[in-house]
Amino acid sequence: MLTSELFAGDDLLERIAADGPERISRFLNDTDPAVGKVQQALLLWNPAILPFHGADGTYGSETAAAVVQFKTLELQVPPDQLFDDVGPRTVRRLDEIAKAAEPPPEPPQEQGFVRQDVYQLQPPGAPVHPILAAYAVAVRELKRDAGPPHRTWAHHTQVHGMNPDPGDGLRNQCQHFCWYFLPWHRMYLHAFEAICRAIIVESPDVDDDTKATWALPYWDYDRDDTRELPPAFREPALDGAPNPLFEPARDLGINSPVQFRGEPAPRLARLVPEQTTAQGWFLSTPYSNPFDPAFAGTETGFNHASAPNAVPGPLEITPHGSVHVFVGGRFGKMSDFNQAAGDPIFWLHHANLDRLWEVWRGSTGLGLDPSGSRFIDRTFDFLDASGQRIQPSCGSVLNLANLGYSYADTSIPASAGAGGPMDDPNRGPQPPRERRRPPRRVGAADEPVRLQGDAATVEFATDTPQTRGNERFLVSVEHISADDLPNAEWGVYLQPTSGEPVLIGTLPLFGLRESRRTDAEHELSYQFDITELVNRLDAEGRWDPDRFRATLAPVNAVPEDAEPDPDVVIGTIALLIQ
Amino acid sequence: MAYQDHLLTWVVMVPSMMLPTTVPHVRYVGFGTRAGRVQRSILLFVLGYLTSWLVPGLLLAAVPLPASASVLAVSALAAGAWEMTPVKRRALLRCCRTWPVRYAGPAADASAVEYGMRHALGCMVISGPAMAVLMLAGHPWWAVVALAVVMAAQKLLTRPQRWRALVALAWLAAGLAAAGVAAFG
Repeated sequence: MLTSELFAGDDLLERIAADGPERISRFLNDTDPAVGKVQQALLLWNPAILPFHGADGTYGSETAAAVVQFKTLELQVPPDQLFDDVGPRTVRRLDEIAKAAEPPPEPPQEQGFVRQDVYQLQPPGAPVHPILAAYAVAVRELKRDAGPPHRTWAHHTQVHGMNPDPGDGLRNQCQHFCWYFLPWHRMYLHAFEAICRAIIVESPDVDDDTKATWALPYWDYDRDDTRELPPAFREPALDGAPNPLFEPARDLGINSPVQFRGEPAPRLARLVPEQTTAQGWFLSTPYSNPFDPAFAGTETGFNHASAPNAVPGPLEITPHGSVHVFVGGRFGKMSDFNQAAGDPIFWLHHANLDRLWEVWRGSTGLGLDPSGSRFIDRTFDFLDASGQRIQPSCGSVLNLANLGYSYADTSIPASAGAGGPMDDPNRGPQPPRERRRPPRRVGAADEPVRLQGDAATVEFATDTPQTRGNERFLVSVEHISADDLPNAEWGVYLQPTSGEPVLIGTLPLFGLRESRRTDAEHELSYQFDITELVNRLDAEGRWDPDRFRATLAPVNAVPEDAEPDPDVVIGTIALLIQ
Repeated sequence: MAYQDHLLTWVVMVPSMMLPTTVPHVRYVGFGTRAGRVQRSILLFVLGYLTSWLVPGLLLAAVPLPASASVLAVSALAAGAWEMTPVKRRALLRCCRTWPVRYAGPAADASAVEYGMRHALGCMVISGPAMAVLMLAGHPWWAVVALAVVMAAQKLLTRPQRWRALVALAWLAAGLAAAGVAAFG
């Protein structure tokens, strides 16, 4: 099989190279189109070898003499075996020379790369898709940790988190619990993806089509058939070698089936709908607020929890934090800021969050991108594919067209509960929302709440106004501390005056380890917007304005072999009105 | 100046210099408590805050002021060394930390006082040595203004722990200048 652009596909040369009986000589095939190609290849070997006729397409005496010279010098053919024709060894070696002389493949233009759903690429039971195989090639190369910093897995892991802070402005830069969470991770993924693509383009193990189209896949876990870790990330081996996408430091049941408490048979761990639902983030607006999280987190300075008002947005809580802790568990990498990006699934998880931001931007958040200079001009430092330091700004990453990629699917998730105006494709930009005043407490638990056993309850009197206006209702769960991550993720449920409890949100506690360090800036706090829920319950006559009742309970199953649950304490649970 | 004058200066100087970084915490306490008792909680927060600062003030005001150049030199160098300790670094990172505020009743009173005291303790770890040098120097107005700006910037700027070396160098220069005055002045 000939591989050079010059020889590949030429029937005569292919047959000769395959040790066929045909030859090119002064008497056989002397004017075949293959002659001109052989002459061009000879000129690549020695530009002065056809001084009179060049590559004229005719196998004359000059070409015959050049072939003899080539066989003598390049193929080391003994004089007694020399013939002036073109045979298999000559074709194969000239093909290699022509291939080597070809310019290196250009990295594809950064236009139109499409990030695809990992479960669409490789459903359970299917062979590893070339896009995922190429990702494995890039991760394997990075995990050698042998190149310059931007070509090492350690660097990309440390960009997210590193303790102590090296102070170089490149590492330990992750943004959480604030409005920079989404743009910073978009920049982070874009830089990482470009470096992976550069490695993939250089790799002989990846086919040209994949090289031309490769983009980071995403893991859309908010469907019943995608709630387990994607198969390609669970297998310890790939093509007989260690699988670079496999990470042993994950929670029980993530990589292989385990027995869960109270269940009849072992199985893989599965995300539950409470951990992936779009209900929390989809209807949240505006993008951010100074004193409450809105869609993307409170407006703060650099880094997580750098201000008393630092609270994550609903997308950062669920599914972001939930999936981190689901995969990482109590001891795995994904649960730790400093190690999370060291698990190859991290990048697919954040690609999905980046996609969900696009879903929001195209529906509920249409026209609601932040525009102030504190956001637009805020820059962060990264290394690009050539190792150069770059400083993209938040404003420069708002529009995906500027970054050269898109997502295969940005339709509204079924769990958003949309339908009606949000699905209207002609829905215009939303009017700017007025800047809100800080929400005020109208009631709070007067002592800490301990999460132990199967459930906890909290109940307190409230001072909500008797006549309803257009208030916003928020539930604030503040100052959460624990010895360690609990085995299950706890949910907060509002207890109406009648009927079943209704989910307010979950407490994934991603960042708990960091919050327990001696130099931690904060304990964990979450806020949940329950305005729609209160309006609905009020209309149904099931909302008590004078009393707040909530139940807290685990939302997912716990493996039988899990460690005993640690003590988790919530400093305050409060109802706020804005 | 008499003892009570020095003490009064301390009590006025401390809240003035700490105001920019304390306002967000005052607001947090105010919005965290029942509407009818906002002022009460803020007052209790301030009370806890000032009471905590009063303890070192009572001791410092007893020192004859302004102190000698050699005492100033030693204290400035000590303040510079303090900048580079892990304790100071950790305190800077925790500067914005909030504490639970109770909604109503005696628990709300107690939590406001406790918040004020905890926040004051954090501020003392960050700024205490610098404030002590200022007091020993007789709190000249230009130094008060300069230090207020440096301390506010250190707390409010991005990644404040990174600026510690610069502040430590400034203290070193001040200490050496004071030592020069002590030796040759």
